Amino acid sequence: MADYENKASNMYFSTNFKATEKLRVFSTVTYYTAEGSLQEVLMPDVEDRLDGDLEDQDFDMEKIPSYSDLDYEFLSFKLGFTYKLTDAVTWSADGDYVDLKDNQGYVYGIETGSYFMVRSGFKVDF
Amino acid sequence: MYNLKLDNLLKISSKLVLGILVVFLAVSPAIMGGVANDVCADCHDEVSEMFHETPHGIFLSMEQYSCESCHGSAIDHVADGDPEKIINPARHDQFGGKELCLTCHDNHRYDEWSFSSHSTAGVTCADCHKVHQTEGTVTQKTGDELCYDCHSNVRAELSMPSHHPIAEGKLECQDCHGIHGENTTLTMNNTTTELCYSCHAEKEGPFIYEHAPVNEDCMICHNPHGSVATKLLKQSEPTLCLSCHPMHFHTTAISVEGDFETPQAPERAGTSTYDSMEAGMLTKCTQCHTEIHGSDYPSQTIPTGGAGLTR
Amino acid sequence: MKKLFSLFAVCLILLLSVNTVFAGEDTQEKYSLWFGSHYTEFSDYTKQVGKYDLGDDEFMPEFKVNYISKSSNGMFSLDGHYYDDHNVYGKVRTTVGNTFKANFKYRSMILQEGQDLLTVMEAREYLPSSGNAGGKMLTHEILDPNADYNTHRQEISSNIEAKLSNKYNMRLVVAHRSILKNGTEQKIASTHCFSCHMTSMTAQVDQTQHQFEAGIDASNNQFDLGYRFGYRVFENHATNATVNYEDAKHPVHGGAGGEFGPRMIYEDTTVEFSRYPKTEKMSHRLRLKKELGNGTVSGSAGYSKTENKYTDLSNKAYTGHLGYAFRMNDNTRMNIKVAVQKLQSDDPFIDLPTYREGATDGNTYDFDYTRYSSLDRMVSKFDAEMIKRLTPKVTLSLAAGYHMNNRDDYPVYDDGLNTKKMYGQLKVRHRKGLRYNSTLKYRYEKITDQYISGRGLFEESGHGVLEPLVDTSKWVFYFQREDLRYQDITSLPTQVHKFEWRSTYVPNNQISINMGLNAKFDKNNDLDSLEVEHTSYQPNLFISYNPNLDWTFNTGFTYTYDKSSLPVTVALFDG
Repeated sequence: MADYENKASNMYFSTNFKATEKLRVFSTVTYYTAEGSLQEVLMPDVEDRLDGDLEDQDFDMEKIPSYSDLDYEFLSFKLGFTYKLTDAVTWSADGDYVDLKDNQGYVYGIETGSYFMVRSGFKVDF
Repeated sequence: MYNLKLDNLLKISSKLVLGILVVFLAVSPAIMGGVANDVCADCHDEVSEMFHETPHGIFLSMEQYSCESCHGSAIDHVADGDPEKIINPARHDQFGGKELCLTCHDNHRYDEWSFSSHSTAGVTCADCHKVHQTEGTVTQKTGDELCYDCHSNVRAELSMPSHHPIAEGKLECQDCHGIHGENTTLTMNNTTTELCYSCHAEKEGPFIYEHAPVNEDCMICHNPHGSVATKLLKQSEPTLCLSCHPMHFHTTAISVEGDFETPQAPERAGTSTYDSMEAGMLTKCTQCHTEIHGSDYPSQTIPTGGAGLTR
Repeated sequence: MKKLFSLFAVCLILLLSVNTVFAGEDTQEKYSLWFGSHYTEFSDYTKQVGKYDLGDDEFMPEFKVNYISKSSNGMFSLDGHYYDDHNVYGKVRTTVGNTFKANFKYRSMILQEGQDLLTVMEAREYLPSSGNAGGKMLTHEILDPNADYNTHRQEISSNIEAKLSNKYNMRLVVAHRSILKNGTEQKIASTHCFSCHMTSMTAQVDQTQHQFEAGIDASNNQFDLGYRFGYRVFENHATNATVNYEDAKHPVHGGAGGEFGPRMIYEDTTVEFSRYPKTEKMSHRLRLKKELGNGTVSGSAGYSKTENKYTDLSNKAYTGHLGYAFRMNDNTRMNIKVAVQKLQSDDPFIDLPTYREGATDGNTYDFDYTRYSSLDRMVSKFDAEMIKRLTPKVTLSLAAGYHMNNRDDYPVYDDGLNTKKMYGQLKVRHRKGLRYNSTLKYRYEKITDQYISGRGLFEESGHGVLEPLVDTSKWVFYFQREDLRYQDITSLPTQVHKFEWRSTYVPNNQISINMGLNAKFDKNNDLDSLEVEHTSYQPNLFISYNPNLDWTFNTGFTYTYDKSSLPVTVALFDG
């Protein structure tokens, strides 16, 4: 028998602040870790139960966990604001930064990567 | 004798007047039409002011409907302002007879509401819907944020490395969950797997070569909200597969160390290490068994009956 | 795709017309338009980060539009968001009084997929025989090493309800949904002849799924009835991937083709692989609801048939349920529900080539068989729940149920497999106005004859048990070992304990605290010496703090732990 464990922690913190009558600022930070791992596979001693020759086989399962274990860390940061230029027109801008760390790698290779996105625009109410 | 008759007449008259007065006071709300809306507005000015901009305020004629249409008789409440003396749907629980809102919103979508998990958990319409809200939808929050208020564990699952894109706004909770007890997304029968097939029809088959747990329940292998492993799998391969299947016997074969080439096709060359055969067999079963949900094409060997799900 | 968009445009025009016609003097309208642009830049992009969020690495225009028009006659609303060509959302809704209601929705997204590099598929078995460089091989080749796999998914859906007649409140309901997927994906073929060789190639994705539903609802003071007809088709229009399966021969010396070849269903041929099915599904469903006594009876009966048009195989499902939800008194509610499903699947006859056909020793074997489906079953469910208000603040719920799953034709079991599940559930809810709300739930499930794999997990030793079938050989065939399999195995439990606690505390208008714990423990006691267990727990905490009208803080933490104890079965193979 062997144990497979999934562990994940997820934290987020967000704020929304009305700085002035016209200006509102918001931000969100999200951080999570996620691991999936097969624990040590302990093989019993089987020599006395064998009838044949097994010298070309290796029953040490020590390395199994390393083939498919997973370990990720993820950080996301979002910051933005809205500013009322007039009663009908609002200017807004926000940006996202997202970073993923892959500490283990799987068949897709090491999937570490990051991106950022910045956006700005105007909202007109009729 | 004259005085006795007068006394009796007075007694009878006073009782009669008293009786008429009592009856009058009892029926006067019905006769008088209840409490007028402007009486409610005296205290609840903010709600009343915006009400005509709400869907209820716009769609319902105020000649036919009033605040009392939903809140019940307000006479006692108006008398002393006691909030217990009027129906507050926000405090309305599941025992008050038919859901107040369903008396008008009697849509077939809510046929199974009484059996739904929300209803049996004591969730009422007012827990999610805001009747006096003017902006946007009639729910208190939009999208998945409303659901996370109670189902906070799902928010975390949807952040896992493999997840349905609800947090990204590409899907909604209601795409899978019938929040009022209804069938969702045009599901065509009540079987366990039908909900998944309504979007992932390519997995339904029927296939000539089946993988039995696929017919049984998608959630034997998958966690639909999110998972650490790829493809929403509960455990990464090969562990998931090893929970029902033994390893290939090649797994324990010692491998040569160094470069090698395939004698029958020298262009197929590679580098092998002591554990290479083990790594090849114990990293990802679906690298070979690609048709894990079923296939119409047979795998190669005859004794397996073509059911290896490799083609 | 063009047809669908044309249809969408026509419907939009119609809806706008409807809105214009039915708008009244009391019409209130609100429009808003957001226009701007965004810039995205990826660093070390490897498909996992932002796999649903990918934007083009450049400045892109973006806009959102919202329009709502309300009057006493009805409502019309339009919401749209254009992020880029692959991420678009649009929704149109209209209501005209109590007579007409329509929704149209379009949404699209793109999913990035990584490429399996197959680097672990590189090995050669060590054999100590003299002059031999080794035995079996694992090799691979990637035909598109820098492939960019992604799928663009588009979904168009609509739902229309129209009142046909005031008599019986008759309504026509029509709904439609189309899912279109385009892009590329990785296909891996494993050929098994003179080496285990994996070939990775790029395949086009061009899938369409169309679904249509139509029905009628009618009601009077006595009954509420409905009928729905459903139809769904799925097809992949892209050319199927093909691969060459080489001729079978000994991987090292290249001989013995005459022996290995007749053990294969096919060799030395180029054929399709990994083909998507072409399916057609049709369903009928009747629905009934009736007020009865202090409660409501609801029921349904349905039939559906799914056909794989490439193989003419079909599945049929007959489903039905009846439920009664009623109030026993002012403080007690009761729900009782019975459901039945019969699932049937065609059982094709698999006609295989004769094993070792042409063998000079005459020992050939016939492996033809009928593929009985594990889908064939009869499912019966009985569920009951009583909810009682003990005090104005405390509600108690007791639920119990019995489910039976009778699998008539489950492979290799003569009598089929009859899984029975019994459960009991207790839930207590304490609600103190709007300030405090807490729920505690415990559920216990007991399952007998749990669903298990059709083949045993272990194999007995063949020494002294198996004899070579071919007189001139000392070897036994692999397939002879099938008779030595034993040991039931499943990852599913026979006992489940589920615990849920959730609390919301709102001490004042500024703070709201949500706490919860989900825990589950299950095990299977019917697997002899094997211990299959799962343990999971998930505590969570969320706090919302509004110190004043200007500030809002939200924070949350969730920890998820899941442990599975499962067998890892290793073959002791001595050649």
